[in-house]
Amino acid sequence: MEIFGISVPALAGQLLIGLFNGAFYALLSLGLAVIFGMLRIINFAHGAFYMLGAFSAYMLSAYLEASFWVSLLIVPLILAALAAVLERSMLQRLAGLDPLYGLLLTFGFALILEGGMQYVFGVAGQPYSPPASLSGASNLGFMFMPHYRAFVIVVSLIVCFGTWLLIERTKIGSILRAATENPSLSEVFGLNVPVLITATYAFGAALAGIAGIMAAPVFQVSPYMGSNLIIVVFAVVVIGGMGSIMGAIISGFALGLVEGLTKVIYSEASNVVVFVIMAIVLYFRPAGLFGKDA
Amino acid sequence: MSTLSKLTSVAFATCLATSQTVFAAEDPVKILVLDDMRGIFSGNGGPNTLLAVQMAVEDFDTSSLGTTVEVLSADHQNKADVGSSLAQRFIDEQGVDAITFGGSSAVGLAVQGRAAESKVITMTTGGYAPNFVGDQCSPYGTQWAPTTRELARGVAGTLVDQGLKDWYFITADYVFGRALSTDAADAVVDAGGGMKGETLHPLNTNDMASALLAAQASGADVVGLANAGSDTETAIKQARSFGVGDKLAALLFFSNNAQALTLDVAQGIRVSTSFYWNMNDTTTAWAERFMERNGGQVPTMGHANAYAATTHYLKSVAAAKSQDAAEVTAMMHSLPVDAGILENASIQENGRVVYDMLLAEVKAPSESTGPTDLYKILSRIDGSDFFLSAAESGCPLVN
Repeated sequence: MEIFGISVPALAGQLLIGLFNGAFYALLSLGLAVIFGMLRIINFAHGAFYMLGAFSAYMLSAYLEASFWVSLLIVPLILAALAAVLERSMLQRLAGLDPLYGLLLTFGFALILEGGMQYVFGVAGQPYSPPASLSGASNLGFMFMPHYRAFVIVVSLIVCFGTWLLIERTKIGSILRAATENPSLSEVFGLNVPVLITATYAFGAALAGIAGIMAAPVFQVSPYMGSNLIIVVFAVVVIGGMGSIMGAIISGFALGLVEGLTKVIYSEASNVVVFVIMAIVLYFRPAGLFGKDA
Repeated sequence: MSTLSKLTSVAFATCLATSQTVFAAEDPVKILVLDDMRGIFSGNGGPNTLLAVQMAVEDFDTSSLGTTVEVLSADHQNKADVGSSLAQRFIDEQGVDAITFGGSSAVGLAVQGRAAESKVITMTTGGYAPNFVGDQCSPYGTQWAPTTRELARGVAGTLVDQGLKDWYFITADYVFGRALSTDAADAVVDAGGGMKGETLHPLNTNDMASALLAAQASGADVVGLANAGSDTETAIKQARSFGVGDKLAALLFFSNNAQALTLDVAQGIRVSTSFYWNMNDTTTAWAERFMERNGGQVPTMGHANAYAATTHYLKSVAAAKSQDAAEVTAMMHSLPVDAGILENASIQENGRVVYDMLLAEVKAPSESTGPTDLYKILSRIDGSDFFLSAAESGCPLVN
């Protein structure tokens, strides 16, 4: 049996690969959606956080011989700490201004981080191996599925839906949403709003860090790995609806699949298909698929 | 430290200074190294090309010149406008006699055009487009780097001869990638092999899994990578987990890529190259001195070609007893190239330097004796009828 002139098993393999890339889109767009949904900051430094996540993993392994598993715990904390410092020292001063100022500040910060890493490490990719326990591949009959790729899909699903539950279904989530929706009233009720805002930003950055370390064994660990990806991720967020957490997760995975499908049918178009979909979605639903109409 | 190396050191330090610098000698021979010093091509060219040129000058007996030699350098950042205006500035203000360059071929071609107008010698040591000695050849230009055509044919033709007949190409979807895969596919077919298929991917693709999966499913004997830089590295890094790690042939690959990827990842990849650092006693001795001075970075074919080209240029200046571009170029074409770095080398009428090439395979970690032990040489490719002849090159200077 054939679809689009290729056999169904081959198509299934390509779709699984699409799901793997979707896992990264979902993780990254989730962080952006959390930050934008709560703080109204368009975080252009997100790609640089992702890159720093991968480089932190590389440096922990190269200089301290930390294992992948240890790094998976430490790297998000490093990114969260860095983001907290950035938020406290700079972004906080832009509260209440047009979101454009936040965009410019974070964009500048991304350029500084990327330039700095290029200065130290050069542009060539740094080596990083997957953990030995995940290094093999299984023959699924229709494709070789590397264990590490399957692991990434599972972890991404857990983190994404865990985050959704945390923000939409728990007490902590409702406090966060209250603090960001009406800061002055929340402060009257005794909530420490600035700390909550910093924590949210740090959490978003930690998500980028998780994506970064999971990318290190598969993709190039290089200073511009984030800027190559972030534009697509922004398109994913826009398609899902700016600030919608479930929208970011679903559109992340879905666009990964669509991109995977495009690679089979007409590979040359694979890096524009997401933007074509974005244009179509914006034409019919300007607030995105899951966004609240403005 | 000899007077000469003191002079070249001073030249280094003032390489970007715009003011006229006064040196002891009258009308010294000035060589400009114009390369990508920090960007994506700085590993196979860059600062180490400057080192190679400096070493060539130090190793040369300058008493035969009757004057001193200065080495200048500048970073063209892979931008054609920056490169050609830098070249013009160094020609006008410093009066450079020869320019060696690498990095993006688009920059190199702009520089070669500018230099030809000003009657300045150009030596393409790190530019791999065939145009340097083809449609855009210069009467004062020589190309020392092999072109994409030879690199593709070197690896493709030889592997088909060894019985690996069915090929699948993973190709970067732009002029360079398509040219590379067309050249390689021609060589495969000429040698009696066949094509199993091809996947085109956009430049700077993050995930090559889709293409690798298709290549694996095709059942091809060899997966040819018709791309460059980070795309090649991504494909190599991801290939092993899809069971095609041992089938890869990279059409444009440098020893510094192998060093950066680590042997664990890059092992088994077959490449063609004009140079490997311990291919003979001369190259080994030279490379060991080279690595002593740069912290153990293996010289690539770009660095070796810069050394060979500079040596041959200085020898030709001495023999011509002139710094005139036309006279020196004529001497470069007629003198034998015997720097010891290139094997059986000579220069064609269109400026193409012809030599024997190598087919090599990246060693497995267990076969390697140290961080610089990267390749094992599988076979040598006779250069005499391997390169395009001057008549076939399309160079308008050739009748």
